[in-house]
Amino acid sequence: MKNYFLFESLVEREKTAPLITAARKLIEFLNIDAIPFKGAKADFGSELMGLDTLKFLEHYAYNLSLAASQKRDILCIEQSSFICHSQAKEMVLSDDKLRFEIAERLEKHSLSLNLDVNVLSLEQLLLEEIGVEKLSTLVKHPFQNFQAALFLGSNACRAKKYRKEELFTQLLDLIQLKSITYESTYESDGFEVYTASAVLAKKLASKTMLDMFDNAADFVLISDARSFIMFDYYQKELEKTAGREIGLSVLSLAELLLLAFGETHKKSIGLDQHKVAITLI
Amino acid sequence: MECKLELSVFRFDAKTDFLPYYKKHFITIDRSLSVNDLLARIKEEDGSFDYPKGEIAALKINTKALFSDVSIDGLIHSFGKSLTLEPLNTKRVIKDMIINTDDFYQRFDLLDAFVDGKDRPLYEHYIIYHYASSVLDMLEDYQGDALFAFAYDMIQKHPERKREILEVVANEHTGIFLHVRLCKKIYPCGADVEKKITALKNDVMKLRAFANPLVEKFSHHIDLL
Repeated sequence: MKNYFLFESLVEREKTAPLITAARKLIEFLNIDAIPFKGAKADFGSELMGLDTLKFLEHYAYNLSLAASQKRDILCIEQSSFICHSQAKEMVLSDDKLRFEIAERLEKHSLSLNLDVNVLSLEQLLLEEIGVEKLSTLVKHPFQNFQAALFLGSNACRAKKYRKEELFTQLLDLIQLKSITYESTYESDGFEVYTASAVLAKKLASKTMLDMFDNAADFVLISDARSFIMFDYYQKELEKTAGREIGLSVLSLAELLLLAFGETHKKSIGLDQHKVAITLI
Repeated sequence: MECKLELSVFRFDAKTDFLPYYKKHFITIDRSLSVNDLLARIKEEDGSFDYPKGEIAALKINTKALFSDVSIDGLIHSFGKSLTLEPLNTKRVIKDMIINTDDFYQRFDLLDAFVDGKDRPLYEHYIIYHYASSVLDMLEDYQGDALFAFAYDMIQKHPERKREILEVVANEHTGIFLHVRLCKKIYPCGADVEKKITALKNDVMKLRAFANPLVEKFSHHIDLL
């Protein structure tokens, strides 16, 4: 197995800390060589590309080059950081002019542009490196009595270019979790407009959550840290916006797998840090 | 090659109906034909059905906005043989698939002074982007993704008008920073329009001289990086 940097500087880290706690625990549990990516610049989400594309590329090329210089691939535990690193790598690699411009910018940080690094999603690592066979032996508490709302969001199209959506569903099959069909799977979670209009962001997010609720989801499974912020951190505010109670727990892939693998200590997998209590255990 | 489609077709007549309903049709049709042909077949089965015709005729199938000249074969490949046909916006229906598009044309007026009248057909080709956006349902005055894509094209065509056009789309209450990605709501994927909107936002941020509080806030964020 290869060596990885675990990308921990998630978007709005104070609101996404539970995702990191769970990822660390899962990595320890599976004995993966993924050390914290110290010195990495924090994820700002693809929203940054809409404001200043060059700055976006410089920001993520910095992380890619830093990891490459230490000969470790980057392991991303959620979609936002995964897409940004993957997209920045692709854009810089495919354009000579951009490559020159970004290399010059990185020189100012005393760093040489080096894109000889892989960016992996958690599901890729689990399925391609550890494998279904081994993972299935670890499942102690299958989720056959639950159905989740798998939320992929409006960024899924972008993510699809770099990873297969089926990998996520393959892992759900492994733990026998069913997922509901609902119209808002690919809608916006509202995060992308939160700075411009918190009211609009909450309207978008609450509409999506009500769709999940009305389609009998037991909980929400997110693939992106931004969705976690909107659906867990702001859920009480979404209820006010919607004028209805929602009360849906929100889980990340790492948290869900740890529960399936029999880890029920809430604190050690970050569940105690959620705004909406996890009542599945 | 022929195939049998199971269709749920949205029906509503603003003159006579109180509520909309969906009518089932089972139609066997050649896969190489277009949605226009499919709509014509529905009309043959039910003479009271109506739908938009012409070059920019559009509707939603399985929640994706599309022009009705797309091939049935591609649709089956993406969605299967069970299809739900709806107008571009169910709140603006006049008759079945035909909607009132006044709001779409009103947005064109925002840029009318900076473009040629003959640019209007290009704007019309973005109609599906206007009605695909979820923001439009929540923010009545939202300028719309069609206008942003069109604004990008017009800046390439009339670069001397760049500043005026950017000032319009930078509006903090109705403008481009309220856009949410809609690739997955368009058939086929709307990635090209997303690229235009991203480039337009970058242009707004580069020309900060006219900045409103929102652009100031974003500028501050970028400067901190």
